[in-house]
Amino acid sequence: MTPQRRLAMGLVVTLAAVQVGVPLRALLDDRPARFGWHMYSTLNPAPEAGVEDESGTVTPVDLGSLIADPRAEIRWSEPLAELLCRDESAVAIVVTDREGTSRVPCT
Amino acid sequence: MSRLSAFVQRTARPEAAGVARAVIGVAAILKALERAPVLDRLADPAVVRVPYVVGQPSIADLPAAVVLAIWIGLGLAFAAGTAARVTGAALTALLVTVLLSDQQLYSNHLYLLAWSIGLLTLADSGAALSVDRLRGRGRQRIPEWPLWLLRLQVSVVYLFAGISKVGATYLSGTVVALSLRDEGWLAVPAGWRTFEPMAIVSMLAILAEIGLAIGLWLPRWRRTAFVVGFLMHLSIALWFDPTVPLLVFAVIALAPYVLFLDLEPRPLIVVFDDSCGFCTMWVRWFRRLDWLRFLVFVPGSDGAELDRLQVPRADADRALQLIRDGRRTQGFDAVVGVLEHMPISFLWAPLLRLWPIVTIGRRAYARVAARRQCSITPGGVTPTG
Repeated sequence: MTPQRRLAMGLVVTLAAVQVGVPLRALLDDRPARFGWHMYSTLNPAPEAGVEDESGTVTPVDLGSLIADPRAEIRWSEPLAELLCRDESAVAIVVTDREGTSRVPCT
Repeated sequence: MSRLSAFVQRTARPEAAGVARAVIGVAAILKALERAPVLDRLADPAVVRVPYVVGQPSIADLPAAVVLAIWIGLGLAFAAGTAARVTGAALTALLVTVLLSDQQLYSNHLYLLAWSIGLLTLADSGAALSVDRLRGRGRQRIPEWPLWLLRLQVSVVYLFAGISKVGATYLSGTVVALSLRDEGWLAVPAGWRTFEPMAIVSMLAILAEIGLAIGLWLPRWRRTAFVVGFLMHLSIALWFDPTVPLLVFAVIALAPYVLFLDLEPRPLIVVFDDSCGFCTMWVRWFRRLDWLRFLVFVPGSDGAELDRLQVPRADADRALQLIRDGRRTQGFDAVVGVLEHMPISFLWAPLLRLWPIVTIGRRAYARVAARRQCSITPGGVTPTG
């Protein structure tokens, strides 16, 4: 058997396993999951965020200018906290994404 | 093991892969234009980055204009089939880099595009309908296994898109109701977005997707699957928001359908009246558009060939004849048969077999055939029509 044929056989098996196996695995994750072909499978509310100050007041933030693409499968709390905690008056960041609402203290 | 070994040795004619490559290359250009705003915004330091791994390099660190220029340039070269293996490999690498640079750059459409370009590159799809071919670098046969994997990919997309929708949220119709267009002349009135119609549409969508995943592989159902896929993608792009990305996705998803047309085509024999200018004009167009090389043309004046095919001269003079696997159709039905094997029409041509289109078509054909102008043929017979 030539090395070329062996390579082709390896590629067929590997690629087919990835093509089928990855979305199969993604069925176990929340929808939509990346690489799972979950287009329009569920409701995809846009993420929302607010900055909490020392008085406990949460001021909503317009994410339109802070996010490149508000994709539903992204867990937004950490990256948004990292960005919004640069505001010195921020005590915590409140983020609502598909995981629900979470409060991330600014340290 | 030996079956796998035999499978990877199988080869196919390159024309269908060439068509898919040209369309996918154009889709890559459209996708670049559609993703440009996201790439551009990621370059803004005020915009949040969402890497997969902390500290990973990102293509967004490069000027977006440069990335897009390379992307579009490679897309153009791949579509034209210029050094298709090199440009395809480079374009696949670029798209994978874009996909993995930032979680905001992920897109199912882009992911499918990367698969398509990668597999068409492995298949050496530049062997036909390409600049490479014009330069003498064409091939008569290409490996079939990458084309089989691309067909598998199309099925996988539909199968998992369908399965992932099976659940209370989707079946309630809420997802469809909220995804429908709100504005413009195709907007669906709020009064129609009630449970019953939306639940029915949702159920049909799941059935269509799972049906496509299977039906595209079955010769008996393939033509139906072509039409269902074509209408489904068209409907999604027309009635869902956002239109442009969904139109681009339609192109990406429909392009590999051509690979489901018979990869080892048995010839379709077209017998035409070569004494008639109108008929020869049609045949000229059929020749130009027969990119998959399915058709063999036999002029009606070729008595010996007509005898061999058992086609009476009177039939050949009266209407176009199409012979495949010993079965003969004529007139409008023959035209539809031809259209079903052309890359520009195979997705929608089966619709022409439906009533009342087929009835109108047959009458129109008969009327036009009766009025056409014909000259005396070299064989010395003047058609009556």
